[in-house]
Amino acid sequence: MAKIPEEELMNSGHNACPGCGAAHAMRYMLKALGKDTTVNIPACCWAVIPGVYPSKNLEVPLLYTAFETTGASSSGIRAALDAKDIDADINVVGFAGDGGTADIGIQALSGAVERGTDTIQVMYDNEAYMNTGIQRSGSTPQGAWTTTTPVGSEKAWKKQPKKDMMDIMESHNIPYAATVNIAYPQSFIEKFKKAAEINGPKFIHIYAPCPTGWRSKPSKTIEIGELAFKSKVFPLYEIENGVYNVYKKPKEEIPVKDYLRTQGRFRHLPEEEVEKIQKNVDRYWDKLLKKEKFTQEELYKEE
Amino acid sequence: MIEVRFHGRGGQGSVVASELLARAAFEEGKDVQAFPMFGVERRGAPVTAFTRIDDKKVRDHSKIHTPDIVIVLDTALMEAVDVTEGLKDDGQMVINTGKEPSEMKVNTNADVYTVDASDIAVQHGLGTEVAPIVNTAILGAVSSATGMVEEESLIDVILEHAPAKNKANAEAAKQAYEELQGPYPGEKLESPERTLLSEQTDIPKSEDLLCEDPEDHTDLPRTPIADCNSEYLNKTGSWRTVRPIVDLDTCISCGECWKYCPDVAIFVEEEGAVVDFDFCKGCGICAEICPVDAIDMEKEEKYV
Repeated sequence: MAKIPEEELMNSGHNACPGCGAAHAMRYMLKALGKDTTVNIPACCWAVIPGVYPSKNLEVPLLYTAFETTGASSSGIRAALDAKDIDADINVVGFAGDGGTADIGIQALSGAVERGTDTIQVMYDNEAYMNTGIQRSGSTPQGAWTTTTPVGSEKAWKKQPKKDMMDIMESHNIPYAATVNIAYPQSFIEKFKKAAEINGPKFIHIYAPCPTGWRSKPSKTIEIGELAFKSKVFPLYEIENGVYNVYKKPKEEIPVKDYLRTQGRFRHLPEEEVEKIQKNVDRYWDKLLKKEKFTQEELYKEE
Repeated sequence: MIEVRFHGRGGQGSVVASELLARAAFEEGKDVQAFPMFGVERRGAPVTAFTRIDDKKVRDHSKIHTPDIVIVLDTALMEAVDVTEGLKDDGQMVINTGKEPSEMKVNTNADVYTVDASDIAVQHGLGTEVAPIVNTAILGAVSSATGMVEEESLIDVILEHAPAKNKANAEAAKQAYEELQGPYPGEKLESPERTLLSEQTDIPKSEDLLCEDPEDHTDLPRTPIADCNSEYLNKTGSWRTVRPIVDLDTCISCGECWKYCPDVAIFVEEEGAVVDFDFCKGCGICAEICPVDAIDMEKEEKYV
């Protein structure tokens, strides 16, 4: 049990589906950040999970905000804390899903990060609009079935690749951005603790499996997280002031198809499509390792 | 007018069942309504669905409070929800269970019928043993028990409108029609033996819910409206269809299950891992993650 803080700031009795990865995400995040944290949440699964009035499953202050305004709300909370001279060590967290971050919430997020507001912007990525019933988002991976990329007589699975939020954040010259995976709570908690120490905007991209929307068994949530890491579908890396660091590299690598077959949303994919996805994953991984080498050894060598 | 209430879980097909039943009655020239009721609950949470059937135009659009027929898709729900609420004394109740109607001990004067719809569904390849899709099978039993729709019109509607596996669904309904058990005359109890899960804790009064001065730990303003711990109000243990059983002799108290529980419902005590059944939703992550295989998932029905 070493290294996982015992204090629980997320209580039982919440409304997440059985085996929900987003529930893990909140639990580990609050374990890392502690009680001096305030969370604001736009429309997403987590707008429903804490419960209906007067029930709430978080031991920290919680503000609900509109779908597109997480970044703006975080900025507002920070400004209010500053104006009231309240202790600056408070973590202001914007906790949005992939739709609320990569699609609908992207302009407010971009604004908050560009202004250099001292907040942690979290994207818990279940790779579609799950709260409204599994509609495709910019973060849905290539090849996935959703209710708006249906697979029947017409093979209309998502043809476009996933939007790369980490690169978008890097382009904002963000001081710190990291990807974390709920299957690895230790590094998850470490990265959040590191983000809390840094001044300015931070972005954390959480890989959070959704059994309901991914058509996977609730009991397999953690295993799917491990497979996403080992197959390099979801690389674990951080970007600190422009320097890339792939902080966890898989010791045993597995083919992407071993990951895809754990989820019903990929069941329809023909062999050649799986090969295409494998090629894209390999290409992304190579690019990432080259960015790591280039930024660590050449670009910022003198610093 | 016949009013029907279905008790199921999110994802089990009770809403579809209420619609199929209404369609079958409509085909027989009746006027019908079918509608579900649920909040923000997710997969596994208890839901209800309703069907109204009448020879003349149905003008009542309100919720059904005193049903003639109650249909229970999952007996594990009977721990959490009062399924007999408002059921008429001359009504009927159809329960999905492997037990005889006389064994069911439900608190009603209505006639009780049972059918093992889960077993029938699995035989026909509908769902899995842990999560069988029983909605069409139970409709076959309802047709047989109440005669409110003819078997033929029900089968026709299933063949045409079931969302998937139409033939298997129709066969399951036919088999359930034959295998129905009952009626057994129910008897209302003077004082019910068990208290429902939702009634077990004292719900705090509204004045207790107001925020207190948060001097204890931080300068942060608390959430302005209310700050009531969800543990008082939302016993998610009722969502469970399978439950983790820990073999304490094998358990090495490593805490992996605690670490990965999305519901914070398993803890390591002196004797080993202990599950909080008030909140465990039965996702099975603990059984999957356990390094010494000390946790088995067993059907909830066995423990009800």
